[in-house]
Amino acid sequence: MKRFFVFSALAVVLTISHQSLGQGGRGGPPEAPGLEVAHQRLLQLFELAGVVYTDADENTGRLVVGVLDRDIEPSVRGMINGLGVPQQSIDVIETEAIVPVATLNEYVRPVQGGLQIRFGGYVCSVSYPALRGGVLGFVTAAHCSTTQGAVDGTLYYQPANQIPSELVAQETVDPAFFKNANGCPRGRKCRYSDANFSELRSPGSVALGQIARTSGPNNNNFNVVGQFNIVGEANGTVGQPANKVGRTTAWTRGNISNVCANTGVSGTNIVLLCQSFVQSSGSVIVAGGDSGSPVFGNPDANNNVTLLGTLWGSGNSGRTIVYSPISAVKSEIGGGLVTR
Amino acid sequence: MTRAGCLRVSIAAAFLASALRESPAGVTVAAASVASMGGAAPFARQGGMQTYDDLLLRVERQAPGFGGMFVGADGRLVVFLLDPATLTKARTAIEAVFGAGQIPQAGIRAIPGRYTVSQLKAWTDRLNALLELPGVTLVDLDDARNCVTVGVDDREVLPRVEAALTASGVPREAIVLQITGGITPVGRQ
Repeated sequence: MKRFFVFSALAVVLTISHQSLGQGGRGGPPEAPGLEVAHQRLLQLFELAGVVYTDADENTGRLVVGVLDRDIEPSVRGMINGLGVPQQSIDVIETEAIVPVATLNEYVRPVQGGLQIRFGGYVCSVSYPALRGGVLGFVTAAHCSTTQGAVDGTLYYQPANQIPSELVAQETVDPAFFKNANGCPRGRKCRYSDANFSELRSPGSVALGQIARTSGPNNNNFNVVGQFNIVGEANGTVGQPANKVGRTTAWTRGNISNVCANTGVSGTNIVLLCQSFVQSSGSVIVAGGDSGSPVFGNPDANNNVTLLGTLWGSGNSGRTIVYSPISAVKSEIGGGLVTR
Repeated sequence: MTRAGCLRVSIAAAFLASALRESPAGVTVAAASVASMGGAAPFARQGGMQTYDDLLLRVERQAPGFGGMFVGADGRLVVFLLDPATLTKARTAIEAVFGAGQIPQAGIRAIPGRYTVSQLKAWTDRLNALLELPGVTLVDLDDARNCVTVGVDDREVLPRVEAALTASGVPREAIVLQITGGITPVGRQ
C-alpha cells in the first residue's frame, strides 16, 4: 500500500453550541447510550468529501465532526438536518488529515536517506539524495550493487517490489578499485569509499538534503515521523556522537571511536583507506540491510544535522559501525556531488 | 592492555571495551612478513584526496608539537601537545584548518602528548603494510590516543603481527594492538 505523510497541523475548534445531547433532550447531563445512537447516525457524513472523523465525546456529552476545511461546514450541517440529530449538540472542528504512518521499509515518496531499497534479491538503505553533475539521484553503499567497484547498471526499487512503479534509480557511478597506488598494500585492491551513485529513474521523487526521521535513537521504532535536514558536512572527531538511520535497526546512535583508519575488509582482499568507526557500549546499532545508511551528527532542535558519511561495515557484535567519510565519497564519486 | 608509553585517555567512544592483547614472547619472525615490512613504501597521498590525517598534519605545521585531538567526556575538545602551554596556538591552527565549529561550545583543553602527528603519520604509513597480512583489520593514526592502533580480527593472528611490528622499526610503545573481531560489509538482506 502506498503511504503518505502529513505536513499540515491545524486544529481550530468551531464551537457551535454549548448544549449537550441527552437521551431525553437538551440541557441535562449526557447519557452514553443516547450519545452513541446519535453518533451512529453521523456515519452518513462520510459521504461528504473532507470529513475526517466523527466522535462521541463522553466527557462533554457532545458530538464532534472533524473536517479538513471549515468551508464544508454548511454542507455538514445541511446533512445533519436530515439525520435527526440536534445541531446544538455538534461541534465541527477543522483538523489535519488522518493518514497511515509509513515505516522505513514501506513506500515513501519523495525518497529520502535511510529508506529501504531493493536491488536483485537484496535490500539495503538509501544513504542520501544527491545531485551529481546536475543529475538527481542518491548515494548508497557500493557493495549494494551487483558488482562493487564497477558500473553495472543496478536497478533500485523502493521499497521492495521490482515493478515499474517502484523503480527509483539506476547505478551510474561506482569507481573501480586501484592497486599499487596511494598506499594500497600489496596484494590488495583499494578505494577510499564503499559508495556509489545512482541516477533517478522516477523524476522528482527524491528529497535533496533529507533523511527519514523516526521517533528516537536506539528505540527500535521504524515509523517515519519527519525528516532530518542536512545542513553541513564534516569529518567527525573521535568522541563525538554519531547517528544513522537504516531499514533494519532504524535510528541508532553511538560515538565515533576512530577517524581515518585504513581498514581491511575481513575475508576479502579489499582495503578501504581512511574509514571511520562508531562504537556503541550497549545497544546493537547495525545489522544486515543497514548498508548505505547515512551517518550524521546529533540533530539540533530543528532536526538539522551535519552529514558525516555512508555506512558500509560492522563488527561481529553489531555494536561497531564503519562508514566512509563524506569527503571521500564526494571525491571518489566526483561530479561536484551535492547533498543539500 | 596497552604497552607502556602509549597514552591512554578516557573517552567513551574508543574501543575501550575491546580487549587489547599483547603477543606471547619469543615469537619467531616470519621471513615473508619481514620482507613485506621492509619493502613497504610510505603512504603517499595521490590524486588530490585530502584525508583527515592530512588535515591533522596541516594543524601541526601551524602548531608544532600537535599530537591529535578528540572530544572528551566533558564535551571539550582535548588536544595532545608536547607542550600543553601552546594550547592557544594550537586552537588557532585547529580553527584555521577545520573551521571554528571544530571547537565545541564546552571549550578546549590540552593534555601532554608524547608523539606529534607527523611522527604518528610516518609510522602509520609504514605499518600500513600490515594490511597485507590476513586478519589485520585496521591501521590507524589514532589521534585520540596519541598512538598508532593496529587491529586484528583474532588472537591467532597476533604472533605474525608482533613479528612484523618488531621488523618495522616503529617504537613498540607507540603502538596499540587491539582485537577488533572481523570487519565486514553489512550484509545485504
